Amino acid sequence: MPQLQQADKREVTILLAEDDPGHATLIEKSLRRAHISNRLITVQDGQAALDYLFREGTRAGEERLRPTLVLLDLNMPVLDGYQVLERMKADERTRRIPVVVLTTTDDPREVDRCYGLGCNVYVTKPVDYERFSEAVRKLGLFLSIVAFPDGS
Amino acid sequence: MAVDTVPENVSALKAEVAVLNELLAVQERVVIEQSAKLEHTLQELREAKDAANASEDWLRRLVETVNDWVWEVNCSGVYTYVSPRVRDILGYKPEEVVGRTPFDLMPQEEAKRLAPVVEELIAAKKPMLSIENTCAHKDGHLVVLETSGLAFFAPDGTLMGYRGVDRDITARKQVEKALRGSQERYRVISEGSPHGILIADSETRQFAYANPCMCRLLGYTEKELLQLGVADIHPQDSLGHVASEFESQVRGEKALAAELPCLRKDGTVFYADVTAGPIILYGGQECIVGFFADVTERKRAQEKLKRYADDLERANEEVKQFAFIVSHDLRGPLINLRGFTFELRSECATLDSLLTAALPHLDEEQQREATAALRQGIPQALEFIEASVARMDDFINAVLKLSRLGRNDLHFERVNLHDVVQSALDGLAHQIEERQVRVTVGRLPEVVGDRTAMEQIVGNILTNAVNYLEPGRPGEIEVAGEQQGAETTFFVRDNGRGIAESDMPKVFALFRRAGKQDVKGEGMGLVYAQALAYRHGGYIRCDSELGVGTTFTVVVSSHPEEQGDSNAPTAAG
Repeated sequence: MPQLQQADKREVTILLAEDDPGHATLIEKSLRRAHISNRLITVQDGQAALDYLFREGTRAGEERLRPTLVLLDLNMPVLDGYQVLERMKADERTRRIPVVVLTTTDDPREVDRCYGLGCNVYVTKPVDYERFSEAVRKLGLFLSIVAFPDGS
Repeated sequence: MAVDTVPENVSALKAEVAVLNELLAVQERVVIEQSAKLEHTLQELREAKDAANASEDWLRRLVETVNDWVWEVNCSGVYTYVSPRVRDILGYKPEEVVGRTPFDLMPQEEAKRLAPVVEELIAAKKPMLSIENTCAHKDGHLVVLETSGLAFFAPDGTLMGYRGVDRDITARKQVEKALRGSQERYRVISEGSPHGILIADSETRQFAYANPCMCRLLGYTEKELLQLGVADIHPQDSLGHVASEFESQVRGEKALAAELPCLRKDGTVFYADVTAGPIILYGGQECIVGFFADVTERKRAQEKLKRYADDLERANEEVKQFAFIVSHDLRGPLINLRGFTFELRSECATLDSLLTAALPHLDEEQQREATAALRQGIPQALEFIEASVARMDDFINAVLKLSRLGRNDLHFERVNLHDVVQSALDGLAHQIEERQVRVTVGRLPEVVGDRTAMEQIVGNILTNAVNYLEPGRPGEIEVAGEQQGAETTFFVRDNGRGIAESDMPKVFALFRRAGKQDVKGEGMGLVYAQALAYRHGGYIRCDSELGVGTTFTVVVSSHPEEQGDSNAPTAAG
């Protein structure tokens, strides 16, 4: 078992993988409104998310920011959220990074599939913006209770 | 001889006597020998006579015992001898026949036909060989005879008449006729058969018979086919399979070899269902007879049908996916619309407080315009946007729900419909009491189905029945059902406002609502119910008369789990 430690939640970098710039903006606004001021990195497809996490492709050689929390949309071009989740959970370096799936549907099959792949939290993006903000606010709560693996 | 010469002649005399005695002895021996010979001859004659008697008796007995009737006619054709067997054959005593001619025993026509033939033979003194003729029995029925005879002659060579036999061949003729009929019947059946018939030797697999249809199917003449064997009429790559099917049929283990590919003379292939079984031919040859039914068309039709079914399955899957993905993807933009509308509102709030501070610095016209824009125009626009977004979201949710109903797992179990109806009525108790509706629940069967689905179907139809009663008329709702073999049926009948004929197509259509729009609803309830009924191997039917009432009949399969309900999970993002 790797050493787990309760990280200072302000140190956590949030990677937001979201292809809809509107959603990304709204998520960011909601996070800030909920006083979550962590560093936020936004990418627009699954490949870019993996490049960031593995320091590959366009992000090869970049310094790694850690610890990290991933907010993952499912419906993305190039590689979708499922593929990103699969790659992350199959790799020792990213296996323990907490993943929050954000998606537009609450289809039980989809929820099951995500949890089956190892996602930690599944959040539906409600059309209702108040509820949407509420969902994002819960992320702040999640940030404060989740255990981040040392050195991830 | 001289007696006076006795003294000197005595010796001579004595010699003579001796000679005479000698002669006498010889003669006596000869006589004895001859009479012995005679006696022997006589004995032989006696024995010959006995033998002749015995032979005649044997011959007579033979003549009288054989099944054939033996006769003799003189040169005028008149019977001079007739063996007693005639009585068994024609019913006449021999003495009734003697003195008559054979033509007297025949029907007139037959006599006329035969007379020239016989006269010609007699004129040429030729033998009669197996002449077929028909005579009348004493009781009148016809007897077919086969006549053979030889001419006999006086020592000087004159024709004395004919001697011969008549054999009753009536039974043989009947058997022959029956056999010919039977052969003809089989020939007609075999040649007229729409199926190819092929007989092959079980051992050598060479063909022994092919009917015309078989020849047509394969494009060979029968002669050509008889030179071929099983291996010549099937494609090379199917021979292994054909051989094993052939062997099973020879052993009698199976009759039908389905869809065997068969090779025509021109190299094209057709498919045949071959039903075959063992048969033993006249010579004892062990064979197998096969009936070939050309199923190429059927096979082609089946393949076509399967292709259609696959296409349909694919199209259906695409529709399901489409509904799911569209409703799923349409949501994304709505989140933005709603989210940024909210953001705009909060920005407007900021501007509003700034406007209050800025107003004194503006002229009257500017004040009015700024106020109208910020406090009327923008909020109104935002309201419309929000209302539209809300409606759009409702539509999407409805389509999404419908798409899920077509994909969700159903859990089939025995469901007591009575309980389902009762619990739906309990839920409507308030409206039922308020509107004083009389509800009659009759006998209801058990159904095999998904409990939740049944609750949705029943709940939806009952809610409609209660909601769409005719105001001012005491409501009456009747629920009953029955199980009939493979189907379970129940109905909900009301005396409500009914549905106009022209509105009927809207009843099960998406987002369509019929009649007066005084009850809230999204127009999806019956669509969901119908989708669920389909998944139970059934359907919902609506019969209605405007102003009189409506009956919804729900039909579900009694064995819905056997309907091949496929709800494989589909990928979606």
